[in-house]
Amino acid sequence: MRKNESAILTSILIKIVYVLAAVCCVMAPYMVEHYDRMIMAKGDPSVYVPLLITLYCAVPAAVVALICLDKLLKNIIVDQPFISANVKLLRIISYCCFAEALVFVYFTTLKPFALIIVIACAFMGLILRVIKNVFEHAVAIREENDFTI
Amino acid sequence: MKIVINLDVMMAKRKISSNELAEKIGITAANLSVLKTGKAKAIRFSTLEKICEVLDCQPGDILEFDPSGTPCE
Repeated sequence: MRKNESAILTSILIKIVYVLAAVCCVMAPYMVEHYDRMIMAKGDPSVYVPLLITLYCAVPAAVVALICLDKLLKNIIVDQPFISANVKLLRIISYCCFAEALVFVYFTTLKPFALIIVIACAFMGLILRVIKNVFEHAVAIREENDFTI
Repeated sequence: MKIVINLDVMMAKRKISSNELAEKIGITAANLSVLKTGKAKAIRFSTLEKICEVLDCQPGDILEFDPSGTPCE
């Protein structure tokens, strides 16, 4: 029961992030404009276009990662956590994290604080790669167990 | 695999069907099929014991080492 509740909660969270991502895509020009006005008031040069480009370049990898997360969760809900498909999904999600890190490397040249995002994304990608390796081993163990008569 | 399962031969000698053997050993017919077709990665001593008991044979009658076979992964 608790397992199902947790899975349902995660599923709801993913759906919320889907909606938030869609809202951010639509609202990005307005939010960036607001941020740009704030930094220009401090006397800094405008970053409107570079930031907008960075954000929109980050969208595809984020959407792919969300879709993969959704699929991964669905597999876990149907009691199939240790299958090679999940290893592939985790690998894709980790690549998406590295892609996000790369996208924000460009913005780091304009605003050094974006390095935090780059490091966070790269670190998350690294963690996911390790989890992927753990899943890979788990799949091998499960297969061996399934074929032990 | 370098280990060959001769379960088919032994079953034919003892004139016993797959379903009957599976039932007597206490495993599913699907698992017995995995064992017969050589897809199994390992066999439990308890399963081997029951097979030998039911077929009245020795482990060597069922398992054979073939040096020319491909090694296990």
